Amino acid sequence: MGPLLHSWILASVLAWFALLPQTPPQPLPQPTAADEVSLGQQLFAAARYEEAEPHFLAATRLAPNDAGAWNALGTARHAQKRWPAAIEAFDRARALVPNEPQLLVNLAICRFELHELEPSAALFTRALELAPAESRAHLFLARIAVLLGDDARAEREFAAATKAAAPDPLALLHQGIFFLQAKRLDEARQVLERLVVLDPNLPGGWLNLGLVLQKQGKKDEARPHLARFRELSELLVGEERLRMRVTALLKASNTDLEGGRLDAALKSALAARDLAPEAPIVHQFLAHIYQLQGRRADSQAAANKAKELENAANGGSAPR
Amino acid sequence: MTNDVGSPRPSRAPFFAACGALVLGACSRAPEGTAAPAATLPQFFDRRAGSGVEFVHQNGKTEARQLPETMGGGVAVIDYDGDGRQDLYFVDSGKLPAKLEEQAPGGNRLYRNLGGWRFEDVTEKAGVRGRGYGMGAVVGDYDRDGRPDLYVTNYGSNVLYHNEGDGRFRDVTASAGADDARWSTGAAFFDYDRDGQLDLLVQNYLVCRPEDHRPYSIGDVPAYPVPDLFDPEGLRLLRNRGDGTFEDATERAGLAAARGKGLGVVIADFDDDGDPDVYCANDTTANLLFENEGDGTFVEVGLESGAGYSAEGREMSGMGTDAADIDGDGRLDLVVTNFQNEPNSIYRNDGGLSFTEISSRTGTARAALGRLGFGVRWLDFDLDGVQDLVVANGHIHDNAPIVDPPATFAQPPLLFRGLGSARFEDVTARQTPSFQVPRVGRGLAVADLDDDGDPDCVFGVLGGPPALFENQGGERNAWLRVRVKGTHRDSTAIGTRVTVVVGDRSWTQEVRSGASYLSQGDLRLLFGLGAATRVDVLRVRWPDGRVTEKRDLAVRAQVDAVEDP
Repeated sequence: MGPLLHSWILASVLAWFALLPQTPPQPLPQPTAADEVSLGQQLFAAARYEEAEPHFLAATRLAPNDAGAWNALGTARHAQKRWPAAIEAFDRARALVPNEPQLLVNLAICRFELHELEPSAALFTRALELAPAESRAHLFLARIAVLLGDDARAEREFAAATKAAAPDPLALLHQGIFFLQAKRLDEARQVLERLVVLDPNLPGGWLNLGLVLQKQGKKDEARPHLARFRELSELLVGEERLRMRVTALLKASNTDLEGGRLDAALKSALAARDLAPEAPIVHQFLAHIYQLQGRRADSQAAANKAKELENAANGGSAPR
Repeated sequence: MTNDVGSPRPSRAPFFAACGALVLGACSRAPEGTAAPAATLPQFFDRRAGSGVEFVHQNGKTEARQLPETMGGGVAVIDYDGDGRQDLYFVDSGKLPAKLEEQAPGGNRLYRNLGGWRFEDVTEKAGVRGRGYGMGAVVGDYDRDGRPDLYVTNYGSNVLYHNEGDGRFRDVTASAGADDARWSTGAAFFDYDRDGQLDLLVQNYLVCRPEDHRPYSIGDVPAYPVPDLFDPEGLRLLRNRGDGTFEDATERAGLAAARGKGLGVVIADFDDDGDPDVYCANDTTANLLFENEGDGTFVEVGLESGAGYSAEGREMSGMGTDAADIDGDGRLDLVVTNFQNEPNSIYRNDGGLSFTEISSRTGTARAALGRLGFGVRWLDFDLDGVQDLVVANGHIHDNAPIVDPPATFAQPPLLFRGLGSARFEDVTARQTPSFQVPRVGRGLAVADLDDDGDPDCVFGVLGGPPALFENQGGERNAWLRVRVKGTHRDSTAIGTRVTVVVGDRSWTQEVRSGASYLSQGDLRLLFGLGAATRVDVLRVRWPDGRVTEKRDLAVRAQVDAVEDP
């Protein structure tokens, strides 16, 4: 999933702002590594991983011995599913702090994503030696055991991963799936009922609980659970898909702008506006295109609309 | 709100989302179940060179990278001349039209099987070059004249070829009312209302017209657009009126409401109630399962059935699909190929249209995660009586190493040997080097091309020549090949369910049109029987529910099961 505001789109919009009459720019202080990490974290928290990465990268350049910066860089790359690049960053961090359990877990997860199950298991095991309560390590060891066909080991690891009073919901989800696949429906139901209480917004919990009830012949009981799954799932997928579409349209528009195809650029930007009329960025983009087309009034109107939406967003709830 | 990937943990730096979003793969496990250890596996040898098959798929690749360019490559097996040998039909794509309505002459090729791995190009005589930008093809005797006909799906108008019986086909699309002018992909003939007439189901993929194409990139690298950017097209059900024409019954049958981004489709009687149900593999939308109500209508039960999503509740990137009984319980289980870093979904049929996604514990997931799967077929390549699995792989991005590292564009196929109890081992590395060559795999058909009793494979390759693989050694075990012939219906007898019984074991298959990805396999059913020396019972359940039996049959032979007049 790509973030809505790709850095180059921002750059394009910012470049347009630079054309507008503004107060003379003030020299900015040189950012420190901590500043870069902080900026990156803000973007990461907003799921803007692609934009977060350059900040973490800058931090590693400013402070090459800062394991946290390397770890953050790895995390941003992992979020973009760039596993080998993530491993490269985590390895740099590990060279600085070899026995940091969370770092070992992060590295192990990347190995897991690359289907390198045995190296991954070795790293999780080492993390558990250092931090026996590291529940994610137990969860992944359980999943590896499932993949390797070792059900007994999987069951032990799932139990360890879910023994806390408030365990990781994903550990419960995978434990529930494990029982469901093994046709141990009562145990699956027990685990999944615990899950939907602990995290009622995790779609997979409702789905699997509904399926267990279906298989137990309790179709009436299953129905609301499956409906809840569909509702949550459609919400998540719908939001994600909308962001993808708007991003793709703005990127296409930008490509056309770069190619001097203003009409095509406008068509894509208008399509983006139709999809996301409340997003300031699409109006900013339109304003920029109108300006290039010499449509000053339209440009001003679009810019005003963008401002209005930005103000509304800033005056109300926090921006997404 | 949390989703399946969890939330970052509070830390000095953002640590990982708790758990990977994917169900990760399984590796092989110690053999169990009924399959014997495979000391020497049958080997697949490449037989294309010198075979006379000169077809090279053209996809009209451009710098614009329009999505259809990376999706074609279907292949169909058809005994078009009734000589008993399985002929091959390859679907070409060609140059992408400027508009969906434009259709240039096609480049499809039909090869007549001469035996001995020799084929003759009979395209021009047969008149089946096709038109437009081709995707796939399926086979069925829709007009009950005893000859198999061809339906070709296109990006744009499709083609129905009527088999004239003299080695020629005639394009009857318009007169038969069998067109679908959208982006059609998978298709299948079947008799959904059990009136003895073969109907036709057509999958359509995306609302994606060439004139609306916009450049797309991943990061700053140009790439094929993702399906999420397009709306789904949905299905079309063409009901056979019995006079050689079809009518659109999509709405009436209840297939219009649920729309997916359809690619693969497999039709089978999943709940064993005597009528065919429809399972659609969809790309980035939930897979759909349409339960046949037996009154000419369907109800979509994908979610309730458990076969719509991954185990964690995610919509997968469904490409190809197939159905077979993989655990010996008589029920037809499902496989769906998915995107890179997604396992191929395997759904165990628990009965009553209730499925459980068990991919992570089948031994197939680990290998599949590193591949982008398209064509897929269950087969018993070593004829030991346990279903195996073959998958055609190939990325959609020709620059995959850049946009989706460490993936590659061309990828080796995967071959899994069934161990029984729905467990498999990856035996790809134990195959011939030519089998393991990376290709941009798309279509996949399985057929006994040399009539020696074991299943051979044909891979359709995007932008390249197909691969023809002869199975050598499979025939060491016993087998029974069943050719089913309808008389009250289509001669192809699609939908007929055949059960072979040896002692206390039994195997069930159905005659099937379509399935896999854009492909059609052998309509004859091939049963691997291991060390069996006789078949006790051959039971045939015809689409109208009548059951006939043959008893005490020799193995290593083909049996004709002809419907009673």
